[in-house]
Amino acid sequence: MRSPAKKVGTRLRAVILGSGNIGTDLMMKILRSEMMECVALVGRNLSSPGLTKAASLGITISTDGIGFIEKNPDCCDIVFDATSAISHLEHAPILERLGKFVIDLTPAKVGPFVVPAVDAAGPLSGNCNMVTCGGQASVPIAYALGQAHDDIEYIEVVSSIASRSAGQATRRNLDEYIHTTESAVKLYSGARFAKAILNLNPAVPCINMQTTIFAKIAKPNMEKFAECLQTVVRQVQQYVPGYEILVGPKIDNDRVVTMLRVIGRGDYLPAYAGNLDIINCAAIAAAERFARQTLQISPSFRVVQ
Amino acid sequence: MRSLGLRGAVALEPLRHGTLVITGGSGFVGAWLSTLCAYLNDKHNFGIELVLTARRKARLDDSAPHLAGRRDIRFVPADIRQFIDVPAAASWIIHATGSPDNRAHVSNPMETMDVISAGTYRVLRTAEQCLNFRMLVNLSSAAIYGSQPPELDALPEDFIGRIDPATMPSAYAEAKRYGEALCASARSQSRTPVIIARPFTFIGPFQALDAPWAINNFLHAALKQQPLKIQGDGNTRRSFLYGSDAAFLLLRMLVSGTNGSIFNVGHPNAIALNELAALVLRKSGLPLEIKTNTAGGRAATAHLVPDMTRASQAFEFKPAFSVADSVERTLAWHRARAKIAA
Amino acid sequence: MTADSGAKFILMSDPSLRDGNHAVGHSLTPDQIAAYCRIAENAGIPIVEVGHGNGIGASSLQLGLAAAPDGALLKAARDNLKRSLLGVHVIPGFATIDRDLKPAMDAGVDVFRIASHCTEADITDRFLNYSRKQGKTTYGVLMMSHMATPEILLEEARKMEASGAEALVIMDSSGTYLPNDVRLRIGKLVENLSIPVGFHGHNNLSMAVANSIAAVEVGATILDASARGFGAGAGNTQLEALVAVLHKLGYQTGIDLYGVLDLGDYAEENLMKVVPTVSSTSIVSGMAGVFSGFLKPVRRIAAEYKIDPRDIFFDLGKRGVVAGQEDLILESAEKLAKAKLAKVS
Repeated sequence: MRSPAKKVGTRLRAVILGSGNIGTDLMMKILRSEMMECVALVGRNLSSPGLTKAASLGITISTDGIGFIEKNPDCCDIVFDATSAISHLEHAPILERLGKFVIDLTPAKVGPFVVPAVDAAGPLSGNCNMVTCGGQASVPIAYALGQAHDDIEYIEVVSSIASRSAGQATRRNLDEYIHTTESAVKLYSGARFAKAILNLNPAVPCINMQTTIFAKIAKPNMEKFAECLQTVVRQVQQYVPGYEILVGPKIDNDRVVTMLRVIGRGDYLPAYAGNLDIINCAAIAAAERFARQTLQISPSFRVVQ
Repeated sequence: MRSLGLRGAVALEPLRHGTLVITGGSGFVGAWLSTLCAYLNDKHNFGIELVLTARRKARLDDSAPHLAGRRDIRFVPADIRQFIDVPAAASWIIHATGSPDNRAHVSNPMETMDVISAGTYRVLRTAEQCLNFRMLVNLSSAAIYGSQPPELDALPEDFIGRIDPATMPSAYAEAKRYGEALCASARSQSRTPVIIARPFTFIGPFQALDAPWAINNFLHAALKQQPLKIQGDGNTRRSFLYGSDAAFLLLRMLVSGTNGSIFNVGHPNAIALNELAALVLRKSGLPLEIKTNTAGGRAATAHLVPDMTRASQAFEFKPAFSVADSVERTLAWHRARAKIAA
Repeated sequence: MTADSGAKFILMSDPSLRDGNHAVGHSLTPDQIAAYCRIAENAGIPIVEVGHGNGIGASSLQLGLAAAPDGALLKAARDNLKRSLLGVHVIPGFATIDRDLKPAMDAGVDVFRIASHCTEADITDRFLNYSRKQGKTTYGVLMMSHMATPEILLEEARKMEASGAEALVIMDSSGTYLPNDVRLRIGKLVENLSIPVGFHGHNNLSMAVANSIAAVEVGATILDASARGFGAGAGNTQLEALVAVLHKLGYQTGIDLYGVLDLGDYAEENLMKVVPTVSSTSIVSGMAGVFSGFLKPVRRIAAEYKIDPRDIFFDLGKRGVVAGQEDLILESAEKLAKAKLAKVS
C-alpha cells in the first residue's frame, strides 16, 4: 500500500467506498477539487480497473471494506459510499459512530435527500443521500415547477440512458430507482402525484442521458416557470457543465414539457454516461459545500499539512 | 449424523487437531462441512480448527445460526481473489468458492469467470505458504462435462465433455475447466497435493430455494401450497445427494484421497423429474396439482447423473440418505424455519 | 415442416386488449373489456392479455394515459374469464414489483409476461423470479427482437430462462421480419432452450400470418395474435386469419372458428376507431425498424411541425429508438423542421 500524495493546503480528506465506475469517477473528480483530497479508494478486487487506476495514481487502496475506516478512524473527514444499498445500511451506523460526514450514492435512503442546486441554503451534516441520477437531473426542474405553481397535479419524469452506462446494480435495482426518484420529485415540487420511468437505450453509438419532465397543472404560469427554470439551471450548471435544456419549456397537448440533456465530463466514465456524471458532480458539490462550511466555521479544524 | 455411519469418525481421524480452511464458507457446502466438523469436535473431541472465508458472514448466520459464536470456527471476510490470511498451520483446504447459481453465470459471466479463475489461483498460491500442507480439495463442477449424451446413463470421471468455448453460457464451465488445469499445474509445479471433486446436484437444509432448479421449485411450491410445475416432459433424470452425505464424502476425499485423483460427488440413484414431483407431493402431505410445461424445444430432456463407482470403490461410499429421506428432511427444515420466522 | 406437426397444439395468446390499446390511445374502457372477454371466453381463447399498451404501470403522459387504472381494467376482464387465462404485459422501468406486479396478482392475473428490449434481459430477472415464486405462469418476452443478432437474442433468452421464465416469446415489434428471418431466430431458440418458444408478429409488411406459420414450422408453440389485427399501425397478426390457417394446416388451437370470427367482428365494430391497414407510414415504419406504437404520435407531431412523417420514421430508425422513447419524436421533429427551414431560407 502506498501512501497518498500529500497536498499542501487546507483540504478535507475523503475516502471512497466502492471501486466500481462511480467510485473511480469520484476519485478523479476529487483529485481536481481544491477543497478535498482522496486518501483512499476501498474496493473488493485488487485487480479491478478502479483499484488499479487508484494504485497507478499513488492513492492508497484497500479491500478491507468498512474495516479500513474502522481500523483507521482518523484517516478521513468525508466518506463517499458508492457500494450498494445493502452495504450502506451496514456502513451507516459505523460511520455515524465515527462522526464522519457521509455522502451516500446508493439508494439506501438513510439520510435526507440532497440536490445541491436547490438545497443551496442549509448547512449539511451527517448522512446525505444523493437521490438517483434521474433525480439529480429532474429535481431541479420539479423544484422550479413548484416555485412557479401552488398546485401541481402530477409530474412525470422520463429518463433515457445509454444501456452501457447502466451497470449490474442499476439493472437489478430499477424499482428502487423509480420509487426513490418519485418520492424526491414529489418532495421538491409539492406535486400530488409523481411517476418516474427509466429506459435503457441500447443504441450504438451510445446516446447521452436525456430526461423529459411532463407536468399537469391546471393553470400553468409559463412566464414565471421559465424564469425559475433559468435560475435553477444556472445553479446546476455550476457543478454540471454538461447540463442543458433541450426543448421547452413549452405546452404540448395540455402539459408542460421540459426536456434536458446531460453530457458527462468524461473523467473516468465516458461522456455519454451523463447519468453517472451528474450524481457524482452533485456528490462533489455537496461535499465541497460541507468542506467550505467546516473550514470556515471552525478554522481550528484539523487539516492535512 | 447418519452420514458418518458406524466407522465414519474413525475414517476421518487424520483431521484430528488439524486446521481446515473452507473457502466459500458461507454457502451450502461450507455450512454442511462446518456442521459436520462441529459435530466431530463436540462428540468425538476432534479439536478441528475451522477457518471459513467468504465475502459476507451474514449469509451463513442466516442459513446456519447454530454455527454462530462457536470458538472452533473463525470467519475471515474476504473476496477469495484477495484471500491472503491463511494460517500457516493449515493442513487442509476445501476450495468451495463460486456460486453455482446459473442466473449469476449468465447475468455476470465475466465476474463469474474471474472469481473462479483468480480465486483458484489465489488459493493454490496460498497453500504453498502452509508449513505442513496435506491436501486441497478443489470443488469443480459437473458442468465441465457439458451436456450428458443421451446414450450414457451416468457420467464417469473419465468422460471428456464437449463444450463450445466461445459462447457466453459456457463461461462457468470453462472457468471450472481452467480451475482443474490450474490444480494440475500447481501439483506439477509447486507439488501442492490436490484432489478434484465434481459436484452434481445437492439437496438439503441451508439451501436457499430461490434459484430456479427443479428440486427448489418443487420444494418451494410445496411449502407455498402452489401447483408443482415440471419444465420439459418430466423424463429428465437427476440425482440428489443430501448435504451431510456430500460433506462426509468431501472430508473422506480430503483425508484419504490419492493426490491427483478426481471424483464425482453426487448420488448414484437417479430419479425422473415427474417422479421427483410426485415424491415431493407425497412428502408434503398436501393435495397439490402437478403441471407439466412441455417445451417445443429439442432439449426437453437433459439428464445429469454421476457415475459414482470411483468414490464408492475408493471410500466404500454409500449415501445414507435416499432422495425420499432428503425431501422429507428438507421440507421439515424449511417448515420449522418458517415457523420460527413467523 | 416437421413430420409430427400434424396434430400439434399451438397455444394462442390474444393481446387485443393490450396491444390494441396502442391504436386507440389507450382508451379501452372496463365495459369494452368485459364485453370482449365474454366473447373470447366463448370462443375458447386460451390467454387474453389486458392492460395499457405498454403493460401494467405504464399509463403515463409519455406513453398515453389509460382510460381506467390497471385494477379496473383487470377486474373487468377477470370477472368475465373462466376457462380463459388472464395475462398481463410487464416492462421493468415502467412497472415495479411493489406498485404494479403485486396488485395485478391480487387482481387474479394468471399469466405474467415480463418484457424487455431484446438486449436488456437482465432487468427482468427480479420480476421473473418474483412471479415464478408466487406460482404464476411466467413468460419472458424480448421486444424489438430485430435489433439484436440471432446469437445475442439467444443469450438474452437464456438469461430469462435462467431467471425462471417458463416460456420465451420474441416480438417483431416493428413488423420488419420476413419468414426466413423468423425461421432463423425461432429455430435457434427452439434448438437451444428447454422452454416453449413463442412469436408475436406485427403486420407492417403484410407478413404477420406467414411469419407466424414460419415460426411454428421450426418449433414455436405459442403465437400471439389480435382480433382483426387490433394493434398499432398496420396491426398485429390477425387472430381469426391465423386460427383459420393453423386449422387448415392441421394444427390444433382449441379455439372455435365461428367464435373467433365473431370476436373479430365484435372488435371491429366496438373497439376500433379504424381497422388496421398497411398504410404507407406503416410500411415505412416496418422498413425503418421503428416500433409501430410510434405511428400515432409521429403523425400528430409531424402535422404540428408540418413535416413528412416518413422523414421522422427514417430519422428515428437511424437513431435506434426503442419503445418508451416517444419523447425523441419531438426532438427529431424539431431537428427536421429546423433543417427544412434552413433549406427554405
